[in-house]
Amino acid sequence: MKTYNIAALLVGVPLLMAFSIPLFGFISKQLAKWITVLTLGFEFFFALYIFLWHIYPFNVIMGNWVPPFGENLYIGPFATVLIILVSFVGLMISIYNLWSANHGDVVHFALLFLMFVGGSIGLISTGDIFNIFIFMEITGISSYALAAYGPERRALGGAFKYLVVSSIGSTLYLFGVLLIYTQLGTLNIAEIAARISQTTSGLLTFAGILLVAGLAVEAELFPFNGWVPDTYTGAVNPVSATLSGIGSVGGVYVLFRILMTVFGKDGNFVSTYGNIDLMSLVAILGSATVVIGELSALAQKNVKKMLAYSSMAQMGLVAIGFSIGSKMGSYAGVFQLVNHSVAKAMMFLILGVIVSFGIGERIDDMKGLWYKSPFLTITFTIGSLSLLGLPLFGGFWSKFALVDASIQRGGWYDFVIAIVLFASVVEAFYYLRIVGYMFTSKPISTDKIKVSVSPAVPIVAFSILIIAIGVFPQIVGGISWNAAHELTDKMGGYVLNVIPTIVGH
Amino acid sequence: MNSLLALLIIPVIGSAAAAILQRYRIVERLITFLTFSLTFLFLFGIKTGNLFTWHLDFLGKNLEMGLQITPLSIFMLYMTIAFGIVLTFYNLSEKSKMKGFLLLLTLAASNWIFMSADLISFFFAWELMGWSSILMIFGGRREAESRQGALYYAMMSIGGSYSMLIGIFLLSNLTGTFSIQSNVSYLVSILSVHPWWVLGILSLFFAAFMIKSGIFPFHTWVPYTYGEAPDGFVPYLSSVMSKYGVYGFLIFLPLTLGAHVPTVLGLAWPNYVLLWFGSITAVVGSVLAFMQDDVKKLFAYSSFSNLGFILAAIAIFTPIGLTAGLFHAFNHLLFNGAIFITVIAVISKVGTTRMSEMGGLWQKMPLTFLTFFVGIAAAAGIPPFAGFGSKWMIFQAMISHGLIFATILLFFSSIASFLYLMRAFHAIFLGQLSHRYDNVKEVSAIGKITESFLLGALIFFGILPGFILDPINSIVSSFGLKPLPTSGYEYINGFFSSINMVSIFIVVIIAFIFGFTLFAVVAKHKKVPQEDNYTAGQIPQDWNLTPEMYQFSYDFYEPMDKELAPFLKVKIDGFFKGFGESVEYIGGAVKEIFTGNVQIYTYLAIGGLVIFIIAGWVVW
Repeated sequence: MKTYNIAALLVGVPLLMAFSIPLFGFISKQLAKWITVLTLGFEFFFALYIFLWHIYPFNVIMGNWVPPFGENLYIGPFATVLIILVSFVGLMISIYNLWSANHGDVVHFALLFLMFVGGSIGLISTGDIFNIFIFMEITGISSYALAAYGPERRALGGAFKYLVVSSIGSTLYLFGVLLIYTQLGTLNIAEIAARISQTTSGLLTFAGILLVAGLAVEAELFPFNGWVPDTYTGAVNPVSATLSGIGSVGGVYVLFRILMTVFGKDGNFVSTYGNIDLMSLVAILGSATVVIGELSALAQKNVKKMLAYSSMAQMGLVAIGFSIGSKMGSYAGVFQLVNHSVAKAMMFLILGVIVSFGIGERIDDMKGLWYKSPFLTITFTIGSLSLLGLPLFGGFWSKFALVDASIQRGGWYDFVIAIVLFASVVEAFYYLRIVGYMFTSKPISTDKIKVSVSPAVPIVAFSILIIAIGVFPQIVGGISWNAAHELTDKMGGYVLNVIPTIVGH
Repeated sequence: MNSLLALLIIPVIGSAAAAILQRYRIVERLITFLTFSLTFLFLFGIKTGNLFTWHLDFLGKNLEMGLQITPLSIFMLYMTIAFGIVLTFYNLSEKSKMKGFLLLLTLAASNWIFMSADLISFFFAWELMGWSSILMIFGGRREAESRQGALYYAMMSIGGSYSMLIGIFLLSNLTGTFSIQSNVSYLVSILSVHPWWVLGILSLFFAAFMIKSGIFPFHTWVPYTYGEAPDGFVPYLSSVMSKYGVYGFLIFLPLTLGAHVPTVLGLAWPNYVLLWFGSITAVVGSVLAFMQDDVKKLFAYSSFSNLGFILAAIAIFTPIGLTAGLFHAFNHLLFNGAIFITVIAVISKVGTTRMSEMGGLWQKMPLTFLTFFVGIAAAAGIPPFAGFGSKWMIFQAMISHGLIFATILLFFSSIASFLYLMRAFHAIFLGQLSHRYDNVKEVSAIGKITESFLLGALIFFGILPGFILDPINSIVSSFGLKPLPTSGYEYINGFFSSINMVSIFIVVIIAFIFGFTLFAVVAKHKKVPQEDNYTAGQIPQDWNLTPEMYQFSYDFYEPMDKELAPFLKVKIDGFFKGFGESVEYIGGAVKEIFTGNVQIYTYLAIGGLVIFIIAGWVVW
């Protein structure tokens, strides 16, 4: 067991800074915003350091109480790649917020944002299923408030729907945790994972269903994703970007940490203990989500709503990738998760810039954007092409890997992938339609859009990253492969790294 | 720098430069032209057998990616890049909204397709070519229509590439490698054992190729897209991009050479099926073409009709079939390029694509007229121009296999092509000049140079086909077939006989001089304005007649249209459109799940949970 306790700062610093932001806010509102940038910059570079110097996998032990007795953070390759992703997206959105968050309660907005990102990082790194619940509540509560931020009335409605559905989700999750605790008497993920086969199969199944249902809310899987369109559409654009770029990452992480590490039964393809195979259940949910998300997006006339539905559909893709249960499948899942977060966050930010210039968010309003701002048009196009999985952009490789993994698995996954590819054609239609509107139709007024520096920085950074991944897939590929290994080999990849002495049952 | 790599990198760099400078149209076009030329220079550095490999850390493996040069890739590269130079040179003076940086990306993708040695790079390049050309089509003359055309193309193209993607993985999961060569030889080795399985894989690939080349029944997107694409890009679409499908077919067609499969009339049955697809395409294209009034659409139909000829020829895959197919591919590139470049020159001058609004333009644009004339003569297969030889060889290849019905179809298509080419020729250039076009001028100097070059090429390769047949022979022998005998540059050697094109040229010239002399000496001309014709003393306005209705080609083939009307009710196009509409309709219905009512969402979540629990119970 390798320990690296200083990494507790990854969770501690953002939460500490979040609650001290009101103090900075007394000095200046600008300072409060800059504090988020600095904190998330620290997070990002620290995570990058962990990645580049290959410090992972390691544990953070609190108060020298070794797991399973104490609480621990476990940062393996999967957590590392997601923490880098979350802190990078968070950093970029906080830079964007320097420009965009300038009305209303800016200080509390900064506080909530930082709390949300910190909570997500905690969610990803913790090694304890009850702490997962706590971090879920931290991110949840901050995101309800974030979603309600802004002058528009629809934000309140969206936030309320999110609150209701998400509360149901976390309650179900808590029930699931409770059932496991009554069976095994421990909350430590590694120990539960090692002893999962000692539980009563029926209760375990019930607990699994509760956990999947609860976590599917955050992972945006149908039928638990009713909140997605309204909340994404209602929230101000940087918040939508945060929810889809960071929030969903946390949701997916927890879902598959529980399914693959805790419930997982190693084999050629990971399945779960209990009476039904929860992985197949998630695959069905994922396919339904992809189809429903893409078809609903097709019928939308509002670009932001379209992005919301597409976000849902993409999470379905991610879920399908992981649910295949093979190494290749998890690889595709991680890869797709990274690509989606980066591209979708960027697209919401671009939409934010467009809207701030008084252009509406309907498809028709996108007409002739090329003549007003080639920069925004090209970056939006890069984002959509990446989501469509077209080459030169990151999404190409993840979709490629996803199809490979499904066909390797064979059986009924052949149908799943056929559905997915059909849905992708639908997706191609509506994204290319927007892009088409942007490139054609000279608008009546061709007033140029001057994008100032602070929103331009994240947009440029995101598009460079998308192209970089598209040209050099190994940037994400290498660590995704390690993450896939961690997920599919639960004893070697996770449990023994946390509790070296434990014996799997 | 490695020449193979240069063929990919230079266009990408050029594309970046063009994208940055896209605001200055002339600079952008110049960069596009120069990049094409520079790429062409690097082409001289590559030879058959050149290889370049690198490793990609992807899918948890160290995958070997590669570029390789076969005689076929050299042929394709020379052909397409040279045509690109001509087109971009012409585009220097062209004003449509074509984006040079996308054209250069397409060039990089195109080079990559022809050079890739493994399926990953092939698919990468294929998709890159796909999206860059889709984006290019946005921005045609008519906004809404060009958007529709691009989306139609995009749907077909992406659908095709997904089918190819599934094929790639089904194949590579069995062989454990992505190398094209080893996968093809694997298919050969199991062909006699599992013929249906191989056919399944091949159809997944062939669907993509058929879509890209516009082969029946996937031809429906072609007229929409060619008709609405920016003028400067249409020649590239029809001359170059349709050849990717041909190249794809040629990767997999050698399959049936060595294996023992059931044959029909001496042809392996997959080839026989393909041959029929090709023949039907040729007929469908021709028949639909002569009902068009839109000149770009007319030549779009004509273009894929010729692709049908090419496919039918290469499907035979004997030395003469392959030679004929490749030769026709080259000729198609040349004459379709010449036709489309002259057509867009005319469109840019008269501002319409409807043929019934043109007419008599030969007086204003003589050089364009001449190039167009030679172009359609070549397309119709009239000696001595390029196009004659290849059609002649195609018929020979078909007859030598005793494929009577397919040959009849192709003959029919060839005759139908006379009909529509004649119509276009007359409607655009002959007849009376409308007063609207009194101020139309001949194309600019750049256009003149381009047109003269194409004119020269059409005649040159017509009378000296050996310059093309030589490289084709080396391709034929690279497939392990015995090339046709060669005897001098001016000869085309067929299955039954050979033709000396130079003597045919001389005969045609003499006949032309004789005919022209007769025309000049004997005929009496009288010029009358357009309205003076046909009316027999009536006042046209009383009968609601407009000048367009006097146009020679107005409702040109009306009787034929009536005869064919019952057949035209069967619309494949309608199938695709109806499918799209129903998907959209279902989308509208599915959307209603998300009503915006939080109670519904709660019920959904709880309902989902209950269903899960019941499911768990039942299994329990």
